[in-house]
Amino acid sequence: MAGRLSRLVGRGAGHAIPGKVAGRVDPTLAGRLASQLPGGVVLITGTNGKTTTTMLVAAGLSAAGEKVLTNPTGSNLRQGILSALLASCDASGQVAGTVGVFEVDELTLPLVVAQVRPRLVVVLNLFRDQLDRHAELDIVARRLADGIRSAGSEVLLNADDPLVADLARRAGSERAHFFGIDAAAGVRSEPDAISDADRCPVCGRQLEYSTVFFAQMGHYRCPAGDFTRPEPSCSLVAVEESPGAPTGFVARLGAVEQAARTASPGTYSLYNSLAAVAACVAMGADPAVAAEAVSACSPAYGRGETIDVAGRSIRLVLVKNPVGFAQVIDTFLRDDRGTPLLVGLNDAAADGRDTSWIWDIPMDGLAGRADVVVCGTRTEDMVLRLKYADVQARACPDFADAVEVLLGKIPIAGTGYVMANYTAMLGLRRTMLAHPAAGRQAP
Amino acid sequence: MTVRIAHLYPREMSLYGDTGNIIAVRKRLQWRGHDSAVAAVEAGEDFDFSTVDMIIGGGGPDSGQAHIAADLVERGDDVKAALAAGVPALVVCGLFQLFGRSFTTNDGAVIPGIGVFDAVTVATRRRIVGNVELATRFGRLVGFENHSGMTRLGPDQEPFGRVVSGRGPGRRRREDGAVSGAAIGTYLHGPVLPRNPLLADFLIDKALAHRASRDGRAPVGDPTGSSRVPHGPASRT
Repeated sequence: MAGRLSRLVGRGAGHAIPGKVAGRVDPTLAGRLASQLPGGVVLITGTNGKTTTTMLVAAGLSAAGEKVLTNPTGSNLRQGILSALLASCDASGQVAGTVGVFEVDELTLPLVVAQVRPRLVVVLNLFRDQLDRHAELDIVARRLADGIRSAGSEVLLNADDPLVADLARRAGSERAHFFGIDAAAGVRSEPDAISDADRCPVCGRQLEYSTVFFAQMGHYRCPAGDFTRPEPSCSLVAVEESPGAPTGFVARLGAVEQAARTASPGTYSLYNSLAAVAACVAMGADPAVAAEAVSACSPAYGRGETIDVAGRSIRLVLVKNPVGFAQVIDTFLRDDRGTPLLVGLNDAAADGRDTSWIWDIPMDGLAGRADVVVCGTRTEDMVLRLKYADVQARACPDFADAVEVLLGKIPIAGTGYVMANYTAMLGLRRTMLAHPAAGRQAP
Repeated sequence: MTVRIAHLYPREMSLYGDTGNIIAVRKRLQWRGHDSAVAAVEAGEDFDFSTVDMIIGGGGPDSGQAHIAADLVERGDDVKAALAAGVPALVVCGLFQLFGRSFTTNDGAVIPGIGVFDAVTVATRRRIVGNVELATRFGRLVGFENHSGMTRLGPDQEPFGRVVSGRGPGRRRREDGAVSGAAIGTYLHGPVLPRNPLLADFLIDKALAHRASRDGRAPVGDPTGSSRVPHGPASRT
């Protein structure tokens, strides 16, 4: 059955349609295909960083000698995972891989867990995102807990995010490990961060923070002692930051201290890379081998990658929720008032129809800029948001026009930034790659 | 002149962009040359509503709503006294529901509201999500609604607006929100004030008038002259 289907749909389909068709024909197919993977399956979920972390874990496990199946295009619903499995099948229906590394949409986790029995589930973070589709953060957390409970697998959780760390308790998981950043590691702390969750999940009291890295990420405890940040088995103990460049860091795993490097700047990137090293080690990889492979990765598609367009260097960053947007401003634009910036905002179904979230972004890091170009189906909303943040923006709804205006602001060999939500990023990336003399470069 | 704004339960009831209403009011006051101060009303903490010139509140998850409902009821008389003294209010989604008489959850529990509006809300399994346009006495307003509570108004309660687009055809409830004096309740996120500056300026004018009367001064108009809104009753259809 599987073989026939895979022949029918063809190999290398980088999207969800084959999986959708096959899944309807045989709902147990994904599970049977995944069970052929001797090394098992890692599922990676969370609001931000799924695509990057999946890419890093895939690289780490490949370097450790595994033949990795993955869904690298960010096609993270059930069908995307089944498509990735189908695409690897040979004519006899045999999956050509030893390990599966898949990113999974938060709400889809219970369904995917029911089909592919994972060996490890990684949860990166939980922020408010696409409320028109995901409803409330409470509901997402409940779904994740359900998924973890039914998986009965090992779980790797972010110790610094109270909502994520609490999943171990909510799911009754006895096989939870944690990763997190040490207070003394030298990572910049941010006491006035926006927070999506700052109450004790047990008693509802306000959590006390001794350190905040960003949003609700940090070192917290319930004043009544009902809930404390768990001790990570993989801790980031030192960083070496240089502005605008990937960050060097040291991860401590038990007695081992392992140096590594992120793919992209920013504290959020540190969490992705740290989680990736921890996940590879949990899957049996040697820490040094995994860290070296993780460190060698370039940013994933649209996640801080740099594209060369008409002799200019354009950095493309996906921003799809307030915390992610704030992190990107803080990482790339905090000390930079000069570099031209293009912001893209669409409200297609894949983006979330509701663009209200742009009002939750602390825009202080952009205040005073006069050169921002805005495009996308919700251009006017973003221009208005920027106006209220004392940023002068030029409305240029069409992608091609906006790219031309941006390029016109950047000198030859100069740099520009593009921040856009999901479908706007896809469209802008396509527009730029179609531009004469476009090419992709490592950062 | 410093306008004092009470922000109701920002921790629990500030979902997806509701902060934009505060940003709009403060910035528009600043553009008119006025200062503003925002004080958060938090559950269990003292708050003196007699010092404020405007009240703003948003929506939240069910857990947040449950957390603050009892606290709000305790403050109901204070809130209503402020409204009676001419303080304008904007409550969106969850707090609009709690400014009504009651909210009945999916489990059948009845959470009492403070009864500023003659309205009762019942949670449903069906969520209304999407862009919406209203005809109101402040003109055509746009926003985004995302709620599963269905609100029914009492016979004499004026709705905030009539839905002219969005929410899909064939739905019986074609009204949104409620207005009583200068208190406005609505399901419009978006957020509603930045997207609809005439509504923001209506609230600002009321707040400035309240502040001026407290300070014993004549009300100060809008020097830009840009925000004249008819204050008569809306036409019921």
